[in-house]
Amino acid sequence: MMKINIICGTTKAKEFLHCNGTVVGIFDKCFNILTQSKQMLTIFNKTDRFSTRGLVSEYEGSFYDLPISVNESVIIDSGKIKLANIMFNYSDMQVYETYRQPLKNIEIEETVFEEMLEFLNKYKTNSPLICEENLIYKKFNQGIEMLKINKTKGFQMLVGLGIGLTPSADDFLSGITAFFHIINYLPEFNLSLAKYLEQNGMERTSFVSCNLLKDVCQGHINEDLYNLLHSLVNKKGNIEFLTKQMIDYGSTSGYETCLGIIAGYKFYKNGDLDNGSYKLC
Amino acid sequence: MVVINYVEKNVYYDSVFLMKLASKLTNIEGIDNASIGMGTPLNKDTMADLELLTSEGSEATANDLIIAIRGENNEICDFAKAEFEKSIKEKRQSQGTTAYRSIGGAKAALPDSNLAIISVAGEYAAVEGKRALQNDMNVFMFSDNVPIEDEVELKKLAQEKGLYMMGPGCGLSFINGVAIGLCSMVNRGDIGLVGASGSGIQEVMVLVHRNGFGVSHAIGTGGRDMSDEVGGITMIQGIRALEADESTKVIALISKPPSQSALMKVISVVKECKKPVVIQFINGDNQVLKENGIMYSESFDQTAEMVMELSSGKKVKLQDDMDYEKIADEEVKKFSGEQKYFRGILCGGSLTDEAQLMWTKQKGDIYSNVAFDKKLMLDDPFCSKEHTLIDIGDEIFTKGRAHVAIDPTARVNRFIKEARDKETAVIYLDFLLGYALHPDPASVMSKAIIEEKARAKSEGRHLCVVATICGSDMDPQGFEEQKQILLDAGVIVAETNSRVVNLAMKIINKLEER
Repeated sequence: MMKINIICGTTKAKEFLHCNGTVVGIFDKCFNILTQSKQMLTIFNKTDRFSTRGLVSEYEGSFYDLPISVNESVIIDSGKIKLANIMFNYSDMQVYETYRQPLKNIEIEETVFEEMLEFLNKYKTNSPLICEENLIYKKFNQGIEMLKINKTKGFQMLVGLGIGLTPSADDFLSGITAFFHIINYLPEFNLSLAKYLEQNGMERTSFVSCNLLKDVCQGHINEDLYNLLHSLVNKKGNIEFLTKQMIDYGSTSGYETCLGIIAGYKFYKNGDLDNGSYKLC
Repeated sequence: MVVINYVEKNVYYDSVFLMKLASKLTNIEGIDNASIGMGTPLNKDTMADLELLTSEGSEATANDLIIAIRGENNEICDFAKAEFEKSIKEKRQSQGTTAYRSIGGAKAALPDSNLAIISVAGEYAAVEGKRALQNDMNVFMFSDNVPIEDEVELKKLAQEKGLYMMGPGCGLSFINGVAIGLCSMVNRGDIGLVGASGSGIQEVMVLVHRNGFGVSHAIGTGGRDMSDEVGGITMIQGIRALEADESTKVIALISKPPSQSALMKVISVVKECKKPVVIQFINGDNQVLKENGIMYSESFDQTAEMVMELSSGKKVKLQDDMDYEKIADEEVKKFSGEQKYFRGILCGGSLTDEAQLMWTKQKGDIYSNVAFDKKLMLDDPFCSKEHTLIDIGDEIFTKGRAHVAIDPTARVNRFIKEARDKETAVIYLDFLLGYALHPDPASVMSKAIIEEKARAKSEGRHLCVVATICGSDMDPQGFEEQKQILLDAGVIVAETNSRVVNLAMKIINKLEER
């Protein structure tokens, strides 16, 4: 049996290490487990960047090379995660807190967000959210319009919109909710979204995205996103560098999250979810 | 038209990859449209709007991938699906050599990495360079067309962090026995080099190697390091690093002519240096070096000889058993009455400069696309005039292609043109060897050489082709093999750039005296 140690894990991941599950997705650097309680765990290889559901192993290779397959049963018990002929030992893992307290004594200034917007314009990706000829762009704008009028209908028009593992609109929403949480603004927005995801998430979007977006609504924010938000609201640090660190996430996910932060700021500044206030200009 | 939805359960790929893949499928002949995405309700609505959704796709869950294709018939759709699977397989196979989307991502995965090699379009290079430096990595920047203000900012940042900013426009470096960029592999030794001169540094490196010596490190600075704006930042860093390096005994600096302010800064550092330093500023004013008691050289051959002598404490003369006089005599007999001109088509910019300098000092006017004297600048770089030296590595010839030392197409074409000019007598070609360079430049060129020599002969002319190989026996191309290929093609191969130019001048002089 191959034994691999889990070096560290998040508090959120630890919360769900109590029931068995199934392998649901295998990637080069990580693989996902869906527990019987419909919660996601992600086991990463040795890395500094991991999600709020992350368990980081000492394994340095590709998970494609391991003898695991989708739908493989996973037994989680007594400090061990067993699947196929592999045992991940998490009994000695270091635990990282992913919940971030809202920040106090902050200074929210427009210039900082304008600076970030310039970097986003500079480092544009192929996100459909900024591609006018893309059909998703049109639907996305309609969804934002609806958010201002009726949040639940707005969520219905946005959650799950986008082709990737974490749909573009979900990533956008995570930027908004992360920003709102950090500055302790409009907590009912985040609560509504979390509730919507709890009730509808698994049908409306991928379980990966549903789990991660719920985490953000509840204040569990990964390190890169938190560092960027901290820097923005405290006017400290290298905004360009931190923005680029975020953009490095996924193929367009990080970029879309940053768009969401800008939108969150504009909603906060205008006091409501104004028409067109999320657009890059 | 038919619409088919293929549903892959529990499969995920990043959205950019999926978009590219959809675009690829749409471009297949017979395919009208394709869309690929997770089976979320909203994505399915979008596919339905595009009339790409079938009942199979409708049943997909949010965790399934739908590949929706509309094509002329079922077979074409199946073919497109097979192309999808092929792309997935290729993506999986390429995971072995992991590609990261960014320097930051790579650094996160490989935290011990300390060198970023950057070769992107100039407008993006500065940003990437800064990112690398901020991630505590030294930078080797092959890219050029980077604004000078950005170069200054990058070099100052590197200096603050105790890192090296090699470039922009840096062709090669050789650090701790590792060849970086378009660089030859040579023996390790105690000769250190710093310079803004790719082929110049390479020429000296291979000459010391061939004569039993070795190189501790060669630090490329990029072509503008010795300008007023940059002020020799990397050059000075390099001198100090080699001075502190235990394995380095003697240092050589090689550069194009520096600005006065940069020169004075470097001179003051060199004067304090505890190790002997030889300076070669191509087409520079050596008087100021002489006045400051600094050793200087006027050619790559001389630089190599001087550093070898300083390393060993003994006089070293570069070996050469070719009888150039005899060779010139024999060649001259073969030319037709019309033939009179020399044409050099060189990959190495510094080799071109040295050749131009020699010709101008010893023979007279020579036209070039990089002429020191603006009067001798070619009106049209694609048309030679009288005696001409071409730096074929100049961007105008490559037009978005790789450097000529990697993709020789532009030089082959120019060679053919010069060879068919009835007034051309001698053509000079340099061949650069090393990692990242063309794997067999001699073979590529020899085919054209053999054909054009035969053509010239059939027309009553003689085409004299002379060459030098700037490489070592440790290079992957195989120095001796490359030389033999050229010899078999009837090329006269000399040891160094300056010896070839001397031979060419000898032949042309004899031709003129005829």
